[in-house]
Parts: sequence; structure tokens; C-alpha cells
Amino acid sequence: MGLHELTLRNFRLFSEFTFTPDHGAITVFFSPNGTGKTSVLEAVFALATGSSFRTSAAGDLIKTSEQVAEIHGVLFQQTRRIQVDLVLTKGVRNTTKKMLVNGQRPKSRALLSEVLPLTVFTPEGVDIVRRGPEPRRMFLTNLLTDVNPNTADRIEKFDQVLVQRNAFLRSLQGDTPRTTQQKELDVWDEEFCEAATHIIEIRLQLLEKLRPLVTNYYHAISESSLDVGVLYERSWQGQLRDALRDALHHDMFRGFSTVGPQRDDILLTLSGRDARRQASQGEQRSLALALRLAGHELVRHERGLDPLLLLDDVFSELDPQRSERLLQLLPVGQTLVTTASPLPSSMNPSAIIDLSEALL
Amino acid sequence: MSYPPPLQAVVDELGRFPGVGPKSAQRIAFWLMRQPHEDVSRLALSLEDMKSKLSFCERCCNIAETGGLCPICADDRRDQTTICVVENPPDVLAVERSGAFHGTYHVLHGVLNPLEGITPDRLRIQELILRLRGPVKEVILCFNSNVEGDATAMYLSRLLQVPGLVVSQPASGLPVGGDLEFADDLTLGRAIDGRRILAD
Repeated sequence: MGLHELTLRNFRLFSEFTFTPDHGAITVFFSPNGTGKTSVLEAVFALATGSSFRTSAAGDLIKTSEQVAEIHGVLFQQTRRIQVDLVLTKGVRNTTKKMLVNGQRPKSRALLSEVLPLTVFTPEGVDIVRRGPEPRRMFLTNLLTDVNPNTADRIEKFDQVLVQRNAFLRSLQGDTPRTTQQKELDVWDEEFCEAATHIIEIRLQLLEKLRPLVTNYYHAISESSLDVGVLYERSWQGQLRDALRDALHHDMFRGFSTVGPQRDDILLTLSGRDARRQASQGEQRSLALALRLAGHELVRHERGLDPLLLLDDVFSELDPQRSERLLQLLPVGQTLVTTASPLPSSMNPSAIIDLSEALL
Repeated sequence: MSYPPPLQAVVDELGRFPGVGPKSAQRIAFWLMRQPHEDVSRLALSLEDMKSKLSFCERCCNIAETGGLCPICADDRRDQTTICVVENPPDVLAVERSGAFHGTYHVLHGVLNPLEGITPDRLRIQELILRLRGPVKEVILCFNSNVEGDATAMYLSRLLQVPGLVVSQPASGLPVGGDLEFADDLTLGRAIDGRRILAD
């Protein structure tokens, strides 16, 4: 499983760029700032997920003054060869994305996670501990589909029910529902609760498996033996059905659902302290790394394959000891690394690519 | 610079079609402009003909000749005690092709979809309720297996809680000729939940 060849056309800074990373080995992009190192990883990420880890505006990915950007990847899965093409076209108002897997439109996200599971380390990775709940929920969702692509159907179903329930709330325009509307709301509530129960169940199962791995990795990275807590934090108390009813008045005015899995969080603790607010920067960084490493390990263990590792400028953020320990903990597998500074001494890349030449 | 008003009118009308944007509307309008007069007249006539001759069946709301019943409702060999409720007229054809159903239909002309502003009062639900005054014993809710279809089925099943009336749903499961190993887990899970006993 991994990347065999990547071609970029009018993507970010690149007019045309192709490279073939070695299978099961480390490829390093080592060049000055502003030469498009992160863009290469971004392209790989876009192939695997259909979106960017840097921007939500897909138009940013298209080279300035060009209309169409293309990313073509050849992936391999044992003996299977998979061609993935992503074409971004600038429109009047927004950018359209067209994704093809072996020439066919993929039916769901599931197919994408099945084709190319990824683990990404970026300097912003610490946000997963420090920032609001979104990056943590996104981490859970991506990990769920990477560990078991079949869960994508359930996640998609919940998202659809949520969108419909929110649309219904907006249609009330702040008025208390009439009898017929109440009957309709009951139906959406029940669909919502059913879909939510599935999501929470699979999230809890995932955290159960993730917890001991996070603890082990945290101890290894930080060389401490602090008690690490990884707990699911619901956005309501008691029964979801009752919580929905209690929140209805609120939700009607806001036009969206304020309780449910879409608002839940992961509570991360160190010796009982809330790591989101009460941990040092170093502790937060170590915990963020531990979470990603644990996720990576879980995918390896459950699926028996190595997710492609993307390390974006990670070593500049870590002190030399932590960098060395991270390297020791990283599993072997195909790895793409970007750096503007010299690599840690124990890293043995099979190829080093200087991108400043590719831009000429 | 805009088009001559008669052409612009056609572009505007075509642009209201589902799935037709301004560009397609223009392309079709220009194409029509280039066609022989009699071809375009025939199209106009066929549209006029359709609207004047057809409307909805007074009983099941399927498409039927104006002022009467559709062929299925008019057929007294059909079992009038069983009603299969579907979303759209093409669904009637799909169930008919199966040859497994001998009752009558009811077409809702949509399913609940708050996102598109489709509320219960925009569906032909009142017409269905009125039919229950007749000799109806069973209502089969036959919708697409998606969020909106499921919600509509749940909504109707609550509304149709009438003594002596059975409300059912088609079994969901594996397609004939389908491979077990390629079935998604939701479908397979439902198929196993709704399994049938072969020997006891």
C-alpha cells in the first residue's frame, strides 16, 4: 500500500512536477522556504481525502493565473495498481473538484480511505490538543474510516440526518412547532438519535482501543509516567432524546442542533489536568504526537497495512531529544518528509529531493 | 446586448427545468431556433397535449387521463385492500415490473425533505388518509432506502395507526446475484436482522 508516482500540474507553485517515491522508504524534500515542499504533501493529502490540510478554499490550490489544477497519483495495493486523479477547475463563484479512482467517480469517502490511509504530522498538529473540538472530531472521523472504511456509511448517514434536522429547525423560523410540525420533528429526532447512537458507539469503541496506545506513546515521547486520560465527552447529559427536547427552544432560534455527536469532544487529561487548557506547550506537543502515532498504530494493527506517513516540517518544532525519540517510534513504511533545516542524525532517507530545481 | 424578447422568453422558460442551467437553456433555445418550424410545432403540441389530456388519478395520484382513474385503479382485478405507497410515478413502474404486487398504489409526489422545503402538507398524504375509509387492510411503504425515505416511512407509520390496518415495509437486504463479500455492512446487517427461517 502506498504511493508509486505523483504528478502535479498547475498545482500551487508547480507548473509540472512528477516524482516517484521509493516504496517502504523515506523520501525527504529538503529545500529553502517557499519552494513548495508542503504543497507536495498537500497534494498527496488531497488525493487521499479530496481536501487540503492547509486551506478550506480549494481555489488556493490552483496556480495563480491558471484555471485548472491537476493531481495524478499512481497507488499500489499489494499487486493492485490504482490510478487516482483529482482535477480542480476554477469557476465564477467557486472551485469544482472532480475525483476519479481508476477512471470512476468514487461512491463514497470509504473508497478513498480504503485506497490510501494517511497519517499526517504538521506544525499545526498540536491544534488537536490546544484548539477547539473540531480538529479532535475530525481526527476521530478520519481515524474511524481509516481503521474501518465501512464506517463511512454510518458517518455519512448521520451527517445527512443532521443537515435535514437543521433545515427543519430553520424552517420553524423561531416559532414553536405546530402539531403537524411537532410530528415531523419527532421523526427527525428519532432518526437523529438512531444515527447518533451508531456514531457514538463506534467512537467509543475506537477510543477504547486508542487509549492504551496513546498512553504508551506519550510516555515514550515525554519520558514521563504521567497518567494520560482519553475520554469521550458528550455535549449533553442523560438521554439524547430528552436533551434534544430541552435544547429545542435554543436550537430553533439558532437554526442548528446544539446537542449530539456533532458537538461532542475528546477530553484529554494529564494526571487529571485538562490538557486542552492546563498543560504546558511541550506536554501538548507530546500529546498531539502521541495521538497521531496511536492512530497510525491502530490502523496498522486493524488493517494490517502501513498508512502513508506525511511529516511536514515537524522537526523544527521539536527539541533534538524529542525529534530522535519520535524517529525511533515511527514505524517503518513509506514516509514523505519536508524540512528546511538539517535532518535528525538517525534518519536514513532513501532519497533527498531539492524542489528549488523543480520550480525552474 | 440581450436576445430578442421571444428568444429570451424561451431561454427563461427552459432555465426553470430541473437540472438545466442558464447555459444549457441557451444551447437548447438556439437549437430549437435552428429546427424546422414543424418540428418545433410538434414539440409545442405534444406539451400542450400532455397537459390537457393528463393530470393525476383521482384515487392514487399517479399520472392518469384527466377526470378519471389510472389504469391500475380502474382495473377491478387489482386488490383494492392493499396500497403500496411510493415517492414518484416511475416507482410505480418499478414495482409493477417486479410482478410481485397485485394491489393498488398511492403516489406521494415526493418524500419529506426539509432541505428542499418539502413538508408533509406538500405531499399527497391527505388523499391517502381519505382512501383509508375504503376497504383497506394493508399499506406498504415503499421508499428509497435513504435518510429522507426512512423519515417519510416513519412519519406515515405513525399517522396510519388505525385499528385493523397493517403498515409494512419491503424487506431490505442483498440484491439477487449480489456478492456477499462486496455488500456494505449496513445492508448486510439489515439482511441478517430480517433473515428468514428455512428449517426449524
